[in-house]
This record gives sequence, C-alpha cells and structure tokens, in this order.
Amino acid sequence: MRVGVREDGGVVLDRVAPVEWVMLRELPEIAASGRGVALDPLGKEVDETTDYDAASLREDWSQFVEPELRSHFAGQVALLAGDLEAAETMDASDDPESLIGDGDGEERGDGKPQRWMRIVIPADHVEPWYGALNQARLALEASERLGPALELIEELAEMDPRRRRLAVLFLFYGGVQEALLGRMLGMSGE
Amino acid sequence: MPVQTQPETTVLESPQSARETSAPWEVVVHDDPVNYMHYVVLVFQRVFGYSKERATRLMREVHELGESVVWTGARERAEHYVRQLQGCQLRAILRRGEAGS
Repeated sequence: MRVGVREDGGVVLDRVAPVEWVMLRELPEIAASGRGVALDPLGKEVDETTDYDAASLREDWSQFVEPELRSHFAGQVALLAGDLEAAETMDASDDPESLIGDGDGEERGDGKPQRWMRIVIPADHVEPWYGALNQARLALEASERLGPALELIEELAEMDPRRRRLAVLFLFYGGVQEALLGRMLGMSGE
Repeated sequence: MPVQTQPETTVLESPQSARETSAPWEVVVHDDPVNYMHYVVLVFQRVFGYSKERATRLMREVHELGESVVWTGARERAEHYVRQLQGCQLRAILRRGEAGS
C-alpha cells in the first residue's frame, strides 16, 4: 500500500493489496463492538455504593454523554465504510508508472495484471478515519490484551493462528493510523 | 464559619451540593497501549490549548507514570474536558482533588 497526500488535504491509499483490502473491510465490524472505548467518567476505583454523588454523575453520563459519544464514534466508522464502498479497483493499465516494472509485483502468477484498490479519503474524513481505526484497535486490545506493538511483533511467530490474525490486524490498522497522523500533524502546523 | 469578602459585607456559607462547592476537580488521563504519543500531544494541545512543550510533558507523565493530572478546576469544566478527551478515545476520568474530598 502506498499513501499519498492530495492537493485538497485528503489522503489516497493506493495500491492497496487484496489482503490489505480484506483487513480494511473487516474494520467496521470490529469497531462496532464498541469494546475498549473508556466511557466511565470516574474510573473503577470510585465506588458508587458509598458515594451518592458518583452514582448520580454516572447516571447522568450514561444518559446524556455516552449516547452522544457513541453516536460520534459510529459516525466515524460510517464515513470510513462509505469511503471503502467508493474505492476503485485498479490495475497496471491505470498506472503508467507500473508498466515500467519496478519489481513491485505488477503481474500475478498467471500473467494477468496485478489488481489493487485505490481509496480516497477526503480531507474532512482523515480524522474520522483515524478515530475509526483507533476504535478497532481499542476493541482488539480489549479482547486480546495485545500490548505494545514492538513486543507484539516479536511474539507473532509463537501465537496461535487466530490470535496472530488479530494481532496482524492490530498492527496494520496502527500503520494506517500513523500515516494519517502524519497528515493530521501537518494540518495542525506541527 | 463566616467568610469575610469585603470590609462591610459578610457572606455565610450555606449547605450546597458537592457539584457547586467541591473545586478543584482533576481531569486525569490514564496510559493505554493503543493511543500514539504524538496523537495524545495533539489532543492535549487542541482540548486545553496547551503549548506543545506542556502537552508533551503531560503525555510523558501519562506514558511513564501511568497517569497524569492534565487539568484542575471547577467540576463542570472538568466534566466538559473529560467528555472531549473521551471523544478522542483517551482514557480520561474525573477525580476529586484534595480540597474537594
């Protein structure tokens, strides 16, 4: 996958390989679980059975704030899903540069041109994408306790196939986030 | 106990709810293995208007100590900040400061 920046401030994910495409397509379902996003206003150490005010605050939070935040998060995922729906299938004939042959695997084993997806992320979707990717990673972390990325990479070889697949998703989403974060920092003048 | 506010004006403290009197409240951010450090700095800058240096110092506290008190003040404002931080998917909570206990 190649990440490019558009003149309008948007981002293009180009040459998205089939396996990367499959991983992106899985994201809305993973993020939709809502697991891992912390929405308790007080933290676990505050016991509402002995603190009436805590109970009241939690009730208010769950009634007013949590629905608003969950709606915000769902909106992020919906924007990402919409951009995935609008993605284009490309092949070497769409990209003159690839005809030069840079050893990047333009041809499949059967001699047919390699295909990939091109996803356009409009400028005002960059942050929602980042948030949706974050939701998915939070959900994966909450269910699998994956831990820091560097340690995770070292452990991949010894994981069972199911956990390894989820760990690879976690790392891949993180890689896309890092690319988007670079754009977000650029837009904020960093 | 009466509180003298001006030479000839005396205001008696009246019983009020914790919501009205128990400042300061702390906005606390906890570490997590998902959010990137640069993102956390960006969020602190945007939400609180902190300088990059201050935001970075707070992010380092979160990362190295497990949590950081990123803002202290009145409860309603603290609730507002926690809502914003949670909206950015940071692990943020409200905590009563010592004077508010």
